[in-house]
Amino acid sequence: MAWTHYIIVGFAFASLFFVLAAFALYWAYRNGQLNELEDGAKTIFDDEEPMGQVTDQFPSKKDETSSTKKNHE
Amino acid sequence: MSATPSIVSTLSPTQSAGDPIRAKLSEVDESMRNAAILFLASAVLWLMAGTVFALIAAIKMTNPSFLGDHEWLTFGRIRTAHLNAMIYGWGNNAIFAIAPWLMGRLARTRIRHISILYTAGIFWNIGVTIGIFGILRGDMIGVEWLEMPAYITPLIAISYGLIGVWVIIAFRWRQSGHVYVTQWYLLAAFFWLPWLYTVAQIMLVFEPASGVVQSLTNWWFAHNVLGLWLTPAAVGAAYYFIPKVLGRPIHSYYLSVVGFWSLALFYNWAGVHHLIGGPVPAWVISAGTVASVMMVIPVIVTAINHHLTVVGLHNEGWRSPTIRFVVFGAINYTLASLFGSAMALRSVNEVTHFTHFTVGHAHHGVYAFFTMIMFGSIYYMMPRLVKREWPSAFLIQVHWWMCSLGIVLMVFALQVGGWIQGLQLNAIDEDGTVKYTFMEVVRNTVPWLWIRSISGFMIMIGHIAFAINVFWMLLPVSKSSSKSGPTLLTKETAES
Repeated sequence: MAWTHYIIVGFAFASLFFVLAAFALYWAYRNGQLNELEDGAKTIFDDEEPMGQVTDQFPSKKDETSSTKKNHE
Repeated sequence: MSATPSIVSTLSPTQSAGDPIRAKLSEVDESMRNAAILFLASAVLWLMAGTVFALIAAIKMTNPSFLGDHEWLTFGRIRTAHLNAMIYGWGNNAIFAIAPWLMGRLARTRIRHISILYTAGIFWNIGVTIGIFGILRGDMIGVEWLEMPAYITPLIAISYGLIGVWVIIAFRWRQSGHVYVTQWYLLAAFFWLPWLYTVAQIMLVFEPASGVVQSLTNWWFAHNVLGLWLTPAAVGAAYYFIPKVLGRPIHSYYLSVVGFWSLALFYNWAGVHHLIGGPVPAWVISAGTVASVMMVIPVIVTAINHHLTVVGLHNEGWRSPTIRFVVFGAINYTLASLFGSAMALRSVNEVTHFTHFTVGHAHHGVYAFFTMIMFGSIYYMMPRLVKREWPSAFLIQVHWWMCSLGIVLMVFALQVGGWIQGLQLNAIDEDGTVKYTFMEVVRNTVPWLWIRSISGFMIMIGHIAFAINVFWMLLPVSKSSSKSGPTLLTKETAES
């Protein structure tokens, strides 16, 4: 292929990519994903792994510290 | 799986009879278990293979005749085998274990039809094995980061597609209203890599572009595998694990969204900074330099955010293997990226180009940042998958200290040694002749390369400790039988 073909193909790919990214941002806006972000930050917690509780420690230290590590927030 | 009307509906995690629509975190863990363990086990095996390749290559830098009689183990092949084993073997397998699991957890959907994921994983690893074998055999393609021979491309591409689609399926049927920033990163990464890989395969292997366009494509691809695949996977994981383990939401969630979109905009352009000084149109290099410097924005945003989330909880963080590794990785994301932006400046690049400084930078990015975050993620993930505690805290300590000190030493040696090397290569006397002959410059790097080999040896010890811990944990009858506790799960869901 001549180099001009690469430019055309590359440009087409780049445009498609850009349009997809722009659409994703538009969708996020329309969908309300950019509102109430502070609440969104808390969606990673639930009853099994609640906010305010450390959920990982070295195995041997677990027993002595597990009671004190909860609810420090 | 129960009989269901169409393929599409069986993909939906809401269709399974009797299951509540929104999955609990432990149910997501359960659904992903077998595939994740396959990926993790292969990742660790590749890590060990890549480490051995790396040490052989490192020793050859100071002792060129070491294993020099075996053509399979010559420097060009063994170094390339190291790179590919680490990126496609270790890095990708780690991402394939962690990304669908994280996506499922965040979307609150079970990962279904796990056997397809499992099969894809087997074929992926067969593909990489043949690829590495091909490299050692002398079949490699002369394109950096794409050296695995073309005959494995279809296998790699199809396996990848089958894995990637699972991440997108989990996202599509998400049961959570909000799309967390980690999901943005993972989704973007799983869209970007196929795009990069396809364009690179077409333009470099099957219908190769000639001349400068080829080099531009090569570095656009190679740098973006780092920037648009490994980086979003690791940054996304850090955005999950730091707040998750500490039990505190990310400090400024708004900033994290800004960070994601600025990375999406700027990183794609940065790769051509590898060709500064080359016969490339000057505006292309300038665009690459500008984009590289613009990367300071997402990097600083991420650094501030991670730092302020950890502030005040340093003791809790230190007690958690996950946080130790992930925060170490996050700090080095900042450092490596700022170094990278500086290296894209023409005046700095004049010194660092073609020296060990660049090698140090590559390990700073892929190891000190990416790999350390993957280690941290695995420390969080494994106990939840196999419902057992890590067998040995001592081995975790060995892993942590050897790898963190080892990589700091390695980056220090290569970057200081590389900088001196660059200055000596450029040094000119008043009468215009070079100050050092090439051989003098090479000899002056030898002490630094010895330090690098030592640091590599330390890292290898760390990896052995890690591998023992992982496979010990996978043994069905482990001494450390299941107990409830913070590292495992909360009381309601832990095994009795």
